[in-house]
Amino acid sequence: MVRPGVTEAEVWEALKDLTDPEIPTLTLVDLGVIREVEVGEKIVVRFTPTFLGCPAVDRMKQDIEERLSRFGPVEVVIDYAHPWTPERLSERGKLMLSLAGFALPDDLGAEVEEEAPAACPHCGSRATTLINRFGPTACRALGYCNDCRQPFEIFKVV
Amino acid sequence: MEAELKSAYARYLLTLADDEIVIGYRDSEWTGVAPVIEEDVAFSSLAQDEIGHARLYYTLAGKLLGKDPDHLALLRPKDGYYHARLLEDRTTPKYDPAGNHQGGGDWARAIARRFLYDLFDDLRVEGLLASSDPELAGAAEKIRREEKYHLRHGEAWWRTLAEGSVEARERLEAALEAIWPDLLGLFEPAPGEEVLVEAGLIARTTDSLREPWLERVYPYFEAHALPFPGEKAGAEWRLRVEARTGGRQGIHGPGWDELYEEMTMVRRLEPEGTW
Repeated sequence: MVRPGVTEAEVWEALKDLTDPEIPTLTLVDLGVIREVEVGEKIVVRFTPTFLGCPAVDRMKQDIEERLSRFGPVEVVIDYAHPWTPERLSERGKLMLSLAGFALPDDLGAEVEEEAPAACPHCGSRATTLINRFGPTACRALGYCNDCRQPFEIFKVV
Repeated sequence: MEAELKSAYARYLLTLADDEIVIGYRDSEWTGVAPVIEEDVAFSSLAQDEIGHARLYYTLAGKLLGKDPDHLALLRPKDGYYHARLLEDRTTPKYDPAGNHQGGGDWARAIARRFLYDLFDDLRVEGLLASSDPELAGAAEKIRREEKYHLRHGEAWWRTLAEGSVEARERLEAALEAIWPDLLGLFEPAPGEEVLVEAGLIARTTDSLREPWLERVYPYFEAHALPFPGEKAGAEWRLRVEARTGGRQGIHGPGWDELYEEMTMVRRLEPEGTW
């Protein structure tokens, strides 16, 4: 049984500072991967990964379960019916990504094939080139700034 | 869900999952030995995506069958996997700890297979977008967004090999000639697909994707004057190649013997092991 009196707001509050294992400056709530919280017989958290093959999913599930275990039984359900889209990033999430050195495409709702251009996160220049659609993790691509001549990572619009 | 429908749906999901895990596993073998380091990274990501899609399909199948997705992925008998035969052959050189390395490996074959399979898979997943199973429909939407990156990657390499050095072009042509029978084997349907169409779970049977696929791939051959084993006669394509089928029935070749051993080895040693 869930501890009597626990509210959804309390659960959200408890989840607030859990961070992404691969980008620790970004919280899971700001990333938008936690869709819904329900408090009933148990606490059900609906979760939607940025990439279906994201290897950090199990770790995030475990973090959520551990964090909420003090309230009672917890179930983290992967919600395949409502996939993650970049619009789910909060304004703060976007800011945290950019402070961590990730470029974000201008138009988060753009179709993938348009290769939405990204401003260089180091100098802000728009003279950038996509070097590789694939980066160190599934959700990142690699760019290069032709002005400050630095490589950078792009957070993918998927 | 009634028994016949449930069993056909589970079989179809396993077929999707097996295709994805097998090409994902084979492409992961390029990690570390791709022609350029960017491609080590790219093929690792491509493989990771495909195995992620496989995991999702195994999870949905597992719900119907009451089985653990890992069990479905790694503990079925060797003739109980339904992937297309195209996907099971190794394309990399093989490292042997004892020193008997096998050279060879063919990047052109890896690219040709991946790109032409991706074009097939895109059509197949398109037919899942309006599925009466909301989880499959939502997943299909996500998968298509991820796969756009795969298609852009494949197009770039297709062009590079077709218009690159003489050796690249020759290797691409040889690879294509070798894989045509298996490419056509992709369109072998899983048993019971008609029932799934009637129930609105999928929009089209796998064999009905053949014509749209030919329409879609032909321009990539034509653009680079690559040999194409057939032509359009009226509204239909006439091909000079026979499909090699059997994969969807669990009949596979030596590539699968090798891959099955390796892929399932750890799980078979310790079926209940966790880490």
